[in-house]
Amino acid sequence: MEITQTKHGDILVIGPKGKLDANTSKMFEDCLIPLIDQGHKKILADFAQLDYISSAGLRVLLLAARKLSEGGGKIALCSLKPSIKTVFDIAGFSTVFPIFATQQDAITDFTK
Amino acid sequence: MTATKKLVSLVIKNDLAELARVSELVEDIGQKHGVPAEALYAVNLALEEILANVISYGYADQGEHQIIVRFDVEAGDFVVEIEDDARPFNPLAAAAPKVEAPLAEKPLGGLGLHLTRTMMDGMAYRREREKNILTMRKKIAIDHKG
Repeated sequence: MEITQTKHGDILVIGPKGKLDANTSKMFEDCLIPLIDQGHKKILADFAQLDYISSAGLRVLLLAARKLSEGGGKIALCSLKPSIKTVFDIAGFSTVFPIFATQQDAITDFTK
Repeated sequence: MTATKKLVSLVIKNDLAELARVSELVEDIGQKHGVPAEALYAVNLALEEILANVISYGYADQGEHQIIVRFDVEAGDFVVEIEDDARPFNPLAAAAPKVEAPLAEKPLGGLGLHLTRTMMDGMAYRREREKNILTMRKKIAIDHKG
């Protein structure tokens, strides 16, 4: 899978494309976790190009959020498609992850 | 014995890479029958979660196993049936995870089954001829009764 990485100041924006499923989530984990280990403290997962997520993808987000919170960091999400938002709601993730409509909204929140 | 006529069936090996073939077929059937995108997402997710569980945790040996996935579109439902020879496991009887727990206590396991049970409109499990047979239904017809 393709995962884009861009920086906005000290915010690292991670954009997975396509599907985060039982096969591709390992790749997402291998990308995201080392970035946290390297010291990135503000991570924004931009899901504008993401069409699908299953529990395998949710697991990686949960691992990342826990690792970040242990080190005083934070992860936020933006641009979730409706079906993906439904999965977040059912899994109880919408209450623990800050979710923004647009990347700009998320960046504004990070920097305030 | 069940003699239900099924639209199409697919035999896969117990390998996670096989899941791509399953989702391709789901997309195909969905397109042919005009299944709404949300229903297709739910069916894809349910199949992935159940099959990934079977493939990752279902077998005591390291050998190759066959899993049969049957598909049907009937009476306004997208119906999928999974038949495997893994250890007995009833996904309907598994305990629900504490999804409302705060971040630090959120469970890593059980989420897939929870998503599946919530997103499907019907699930039935039986153990037959040393096989797990799980039937799942997702409504695709528009309900005019509101």
